[in-house]
Amino acid sequence: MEIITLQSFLIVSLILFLTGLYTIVSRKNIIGIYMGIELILNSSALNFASFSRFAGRGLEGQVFSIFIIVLAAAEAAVALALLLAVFKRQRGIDADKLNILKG
Amino acid sequence: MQEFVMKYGFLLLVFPLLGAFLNGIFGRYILRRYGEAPIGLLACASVFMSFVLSIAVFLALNDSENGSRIICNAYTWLNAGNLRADAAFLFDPLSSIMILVVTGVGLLIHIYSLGYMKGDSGYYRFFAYLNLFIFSMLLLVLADNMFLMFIGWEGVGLCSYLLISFWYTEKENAIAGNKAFIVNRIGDAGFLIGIFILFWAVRQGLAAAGTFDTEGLSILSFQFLEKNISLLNGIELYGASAATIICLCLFIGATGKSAQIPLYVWLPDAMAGPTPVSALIHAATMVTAGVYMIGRLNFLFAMSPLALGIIAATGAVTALFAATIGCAQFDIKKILAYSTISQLGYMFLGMGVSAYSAGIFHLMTHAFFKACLFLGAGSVIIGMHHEQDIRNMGGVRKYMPVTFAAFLIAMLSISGIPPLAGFFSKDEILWKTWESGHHILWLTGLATAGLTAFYMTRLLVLTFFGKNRGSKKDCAVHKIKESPFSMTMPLIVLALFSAAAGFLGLPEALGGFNRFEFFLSPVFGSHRGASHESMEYMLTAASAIVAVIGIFSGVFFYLVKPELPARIAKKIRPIYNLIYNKYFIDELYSFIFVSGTGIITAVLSAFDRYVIDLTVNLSGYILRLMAHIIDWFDRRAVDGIVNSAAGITLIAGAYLRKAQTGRLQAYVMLLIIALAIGVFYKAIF
Repeated sequence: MEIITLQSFLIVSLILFLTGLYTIVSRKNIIGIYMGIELILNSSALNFASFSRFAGRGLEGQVFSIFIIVLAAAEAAVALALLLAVFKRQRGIDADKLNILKG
Repeated sequence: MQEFVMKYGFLLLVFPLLGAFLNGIFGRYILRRYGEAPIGLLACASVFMSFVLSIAVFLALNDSENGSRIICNAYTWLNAGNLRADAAFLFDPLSSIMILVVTGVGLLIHIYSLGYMKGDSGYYRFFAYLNLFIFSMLLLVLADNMFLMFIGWEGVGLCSYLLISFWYTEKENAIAGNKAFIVNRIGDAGFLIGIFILFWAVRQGLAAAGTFDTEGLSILSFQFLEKNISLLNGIELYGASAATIICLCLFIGATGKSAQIPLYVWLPDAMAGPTPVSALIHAATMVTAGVYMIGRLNFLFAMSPLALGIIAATGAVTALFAATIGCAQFDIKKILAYSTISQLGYMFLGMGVSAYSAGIFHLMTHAFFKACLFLGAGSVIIGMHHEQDIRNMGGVRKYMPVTFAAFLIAMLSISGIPPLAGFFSKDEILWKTWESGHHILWLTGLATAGLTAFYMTRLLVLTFFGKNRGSKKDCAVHKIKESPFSMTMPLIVLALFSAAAGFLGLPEALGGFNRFEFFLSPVFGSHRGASHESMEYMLTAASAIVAVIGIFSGVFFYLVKPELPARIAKKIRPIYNLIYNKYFIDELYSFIFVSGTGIITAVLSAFDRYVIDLTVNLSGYILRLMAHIIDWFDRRAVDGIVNSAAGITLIAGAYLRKAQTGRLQAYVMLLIIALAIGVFYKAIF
């Protein structure tokens, strides 16, 4: 009998997801929000890996996890570039002040 | 000779037409550049050429054995289906006499006009019209079929109109021209309808006979009609015999052109034209067209005794009626005009009693003496400086001896004094009337003869005898002088003819041989009735006596006791007024027809104004009203729907935009809540 089961992974993943979600909702700083998004991505990557591991169907999930990591890196580059542009324009990166698309 | 006429007969018409054309187109230029002489020469020369040709025709007809008829076929004018009309000219004794009269009297009057129209600004226009008239008249006379005759018939009407209103700057003349034209138009309509019915009836007759073979003749040509007139037997129209209806329609045309009751009213007014025109057109030639037409179609009229009776009665009544009016007129030309109407009545009387050659004989002698009288009157009018009222004349005899002599001869001739021409021709008609049994008509004619002698004497006495009464022109008396030779020469010639022409038709009862009737017998046949010589002597004597009585009473009333007529006139004032005002016929016509037309136009105008305009306006108004309604609907309903759709969208947008806060966290929260709801929903159900 194994101590570490699928549920353990899923619980960790859930904690990560909820932490990320909370971060997104609560932070005013865009970088903070971005960090929350990263947490959610990672929770999903963990889910892929763990399901793949316990389903016993090869390495498809692990491959997806690596894809997600790579994508997150690329996304970080784009997001940071956008943040710089926003900062230049808005003199700040407060999410509440980014409301020029308000109806 | 016959060959020549057959080939070149149409030249007779070409010369006057050419003259009219040249004078009409280039006259103004010639007048300005070369003066009056070439214009007059051209006009006279063209008529002279026609006159020479007329003599040639006459001789050709005389020396031919069987040739009572020569036809010159110029070309086929109309050829449409069953209808064919050739531009063909018929030369027979009747038309040859007519063309001799037309061109002969026409030539004399052309010469007369040279002097009469001297100095008129419309000199070339006058001669162009006159030549055109000669052309139209010759066309009328020589036409070989009804259509061509109708062209001439209309042509002379047109020339008459143009010449009556020759001095058109005066409104009175223009109105007189219009009157002549319109009254003639009424007659012409009858004439035209007559031709139509004739055409229809002949076609019917041919169909009934089962043949359409016309031997190459046009069915409206006189040749064909004369030969085949029996085709009309039994053809009926509206229950009457077609021949009677045709004759009456044609006679309506004749009453218009020849100034008979009821269409005579235009002729007295036509005296507004220059005097030579009155002489040529309104006395000698054009007005006799109706008589000629009846003579030409005598075979047709012979088929309808009823129509002939009407013609005779109309002629006799017109003769008496016009003669009474003539007794109370004061305008020298008007008296002559009424006299013309009266004499034309005689001719119709002659035609009506089938004394065709007598009618044509009177037509010819009348052309001579009436043209002479008119030209004499014209001479006097010129001499008196355009005075036409005989009350202001008198004593002219001393100043104008030649005019007086000619006038006297013509006046005695028209009065019927033997042995002048008028006596023979008039007597011939009266005798034939008696012989045919129309004793009342004979009496009417006899009374007219007396009246004619009376009013002509009155005219002569008032004009030429006594003292000059020129009230406003006292000084003018010394200036009255005889007219130039170009005017007196035609007078003399015409006077000679009015004296001598009667011997052409000397009746056998008076020891003569009626050459005239014999010459015309190929056309009219010989109507030699039983000889009542003693009766004829008595009637002849009666008419001569009546004429003498007329003259003596004229002399008595106006020369011996000049104050008597006024006293008598005062005594019978109502009758005198009636006659003086021409029986108020003009007023009657103006009341019935002119005002009648006025009333009809007023009614029609009111109908237009109040019914048609109302309908149009009402429909316009209704359309406008509907347009307003549709406009309102468009504006309110259609636009309202569109606009309110837009408005609703706007309002909805205004509310919905509030959801777009632009705050990231809000969006995320919404996302989470929606997700939560979705999860819970899934979990519960």
